Amino acid sequence: MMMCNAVLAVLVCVAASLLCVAPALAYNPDNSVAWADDRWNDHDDSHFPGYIDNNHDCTNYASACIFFGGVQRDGHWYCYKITYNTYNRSLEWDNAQSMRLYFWGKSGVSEVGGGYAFDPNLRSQYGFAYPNNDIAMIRGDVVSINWHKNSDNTTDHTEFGVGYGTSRYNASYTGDLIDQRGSDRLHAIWSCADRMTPSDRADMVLRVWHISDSFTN
Amino acid sequence: MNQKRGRRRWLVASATGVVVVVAAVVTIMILSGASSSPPAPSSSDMQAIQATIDQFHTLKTAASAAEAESDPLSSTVPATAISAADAPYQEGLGAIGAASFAAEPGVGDYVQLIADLRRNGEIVLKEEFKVLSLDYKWSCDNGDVVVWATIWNGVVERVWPGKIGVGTLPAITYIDATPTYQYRMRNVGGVWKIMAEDLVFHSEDGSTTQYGPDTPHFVDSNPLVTIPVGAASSVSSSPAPEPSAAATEAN
Repeated sequence: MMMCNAVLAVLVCVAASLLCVAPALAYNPDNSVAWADDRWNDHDDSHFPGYIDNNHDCTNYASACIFFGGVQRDGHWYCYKITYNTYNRSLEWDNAQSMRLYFWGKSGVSEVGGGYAFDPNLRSQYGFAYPNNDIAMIRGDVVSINWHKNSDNTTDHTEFGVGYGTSRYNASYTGDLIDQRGSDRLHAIWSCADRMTPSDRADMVLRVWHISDSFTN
Repeated sequence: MNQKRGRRRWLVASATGVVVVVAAVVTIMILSGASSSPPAPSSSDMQAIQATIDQFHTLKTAASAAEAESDPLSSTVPATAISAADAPYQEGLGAIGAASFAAEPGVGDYVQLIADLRRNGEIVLKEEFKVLSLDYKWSCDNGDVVVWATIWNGVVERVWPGKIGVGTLPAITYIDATPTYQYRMRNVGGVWKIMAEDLVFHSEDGSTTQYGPDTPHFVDSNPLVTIPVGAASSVSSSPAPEPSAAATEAN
């Protein structure tokens, strides 16, 4: 009997240690999109609220989507709750430029279809093809936007890809859809064609990137 | 003992003298700096600046409307139609803007950019603008004047769900927003010309079922441009009427 208990204890310890060293969860876009569709306008979300960024939390929201897809926080990309209304979060978590730079260059992250620039000269500069509302974007992809290339060369905004369909805001537009917070949107066209004028889109650069299912940071 | 006292007095007097001289120099530097900074534009200058900005947007409205008249069932705008719309646009742009401004994305190539939208099923029928407010921000050392203009920008489009001329009949859509742009203006021979345009506050349509300056719009409150130290306080004039409170949904 004692022998059995000892063997059982060893087995429990081995199983526990195996669990502890198990690799980080792979990225599951379905889980991230489920969270994105649930919290697209919830600025009081208890895990990663928007109000502490004065509701300018497009990138906090996109990071949270990626996190709920299974990508683990690390020493650079993190957000932790300290008290009921204080959070410790890194620039890589909630700043559009820092977040893009954190992920880009890592194994398992790739740019999708070359991105998008409305102006022909910018497309030529970046080597992008002419943008369509429907591109090779899939659920769980991320869109990094520079609103006005002429002002600088940095990312100002982040959207989260959630699938394909018709815009909730303008039924004339069908294509790849995103969710975002800041200007809260559920199922809007990724290229902003359903809510921005040609002149306001003229100087935009949008870069779409994909996180592979096996991504670990 | 007396020698020591004398030396101490001399040191105190010297230190006081140095402090007084430094304070005087600093005061003179501040005053001379303030007096040498370029003056703010006069009210008539601001009116002329707004006229130039208005003219730029009027050119775009005319160019977009001219293009819309070409083949409404074609995914491409004929080269002749592009040239016909572009010629007056370029001529007008040359009169109100610098070459560097015309080279900016979406400015000199505006006509082609609107034509390219057809590849995505969008036919621009008219893009229109209205300056809602104009604020002087600062003057550059070379005399250039920097202003911020909040602009109502609307577009009327015929959008085909797929390829133009194929499948479901298209709907007419209305999209508008109220972004703020920064314009750097230069007085060239008595004419205020646009040297550069930069987006300050990003804006999106808040309700695509409503159209006009007084309808809901999302307006970001994070400026996308760098504001020089001390420039923010130099807001001076607003010749155009302010947008109504209903026109913005500040984030």
